[in-house]
Amino acid sequence: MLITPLASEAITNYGSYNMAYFGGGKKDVMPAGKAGVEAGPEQPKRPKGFKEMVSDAARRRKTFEDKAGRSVDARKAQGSAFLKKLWVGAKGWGMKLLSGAKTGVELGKKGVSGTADALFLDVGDMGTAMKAKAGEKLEDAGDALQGALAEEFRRIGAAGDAVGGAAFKGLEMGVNAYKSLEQRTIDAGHTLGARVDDIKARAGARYQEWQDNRPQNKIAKLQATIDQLQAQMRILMGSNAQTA
Amino acid sequence: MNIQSFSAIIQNAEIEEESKQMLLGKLNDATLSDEQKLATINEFITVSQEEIAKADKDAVSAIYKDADAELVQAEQEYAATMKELNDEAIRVDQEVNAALDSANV
Repeated sequence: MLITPLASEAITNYGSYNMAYFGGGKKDVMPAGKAGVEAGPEQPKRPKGFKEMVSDAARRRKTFEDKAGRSVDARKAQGSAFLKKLWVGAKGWGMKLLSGAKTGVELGKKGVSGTADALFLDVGDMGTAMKAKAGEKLEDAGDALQGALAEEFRRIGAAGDAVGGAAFKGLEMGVNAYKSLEQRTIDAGHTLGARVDDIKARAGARYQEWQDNRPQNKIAKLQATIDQLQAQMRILMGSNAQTA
Repeated sequence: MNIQSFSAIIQNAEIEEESKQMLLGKLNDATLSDEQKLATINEFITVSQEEIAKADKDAVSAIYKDADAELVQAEQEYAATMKELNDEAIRVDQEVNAALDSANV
């Protein structure tokens, strides 16, 4: 509900640039200027320069993404809420393990591995809240905290695995494909080189064969006749010179 | 001038019969002077040398013309392979980018 009016308004105001920027959308979902309460004050309908467009688009994108819960900022906000929740719950445990140093370790032993240090730091700042939790049965608070932690980490882990897995799959596919392309390019070069060498070798062999057979062919015999005639010509010229 | 020595060479030469008869006819022609007969021999030598040069050139050209045609064919096939690989690289780019986009990376 919050996404469509903002996207629609952005598209109406900024045209095709923002169509691409927002990944498209239905222009007729909501008329311009009726973006709803979440969009804030109605935007002025006037020509905008590019920088202003970009700045507005960035601001709108952040609002858009925050409200859609899809941006990094939104995820961080979720994370903050999550940490706050942990903090309250852990506070009960902190009261029980007031020395502090063992709090994170204890949680780690209960399966919240890798997050114990962060949790421990948060616990260390919880003085007031710890007082607010005074009187609560610590065992119950601890169990509730552990359950919430496990579920939250499972959810975040699964989401991370899905994103990471898809990304890895894409990268792996790319790496394998690029490796294959690289190897086939090298192979094609080697094939061409070998083929060129073979062509040259065969041409060279044919040339050599032609040269080897040349003394026996008609041209070679003609050449031999010419050689004899020229030799005789030189003898004759020498003889004439001596006579003269 | 011993023109007869040329006649003996021509007589035993393994050359075209037509050329042989023409040369012998000239050498035995009593109406021609020795200088004219030598000029005929010289002209035969010149023409024959040109013929030999052309024959050699044609033979070598024939050999390398075939090789050149094979080289052109090989290079064309290589270029076609490179184009296929390039087209495939573009497709891979698109597929990888799509995969990364879908993963929100």
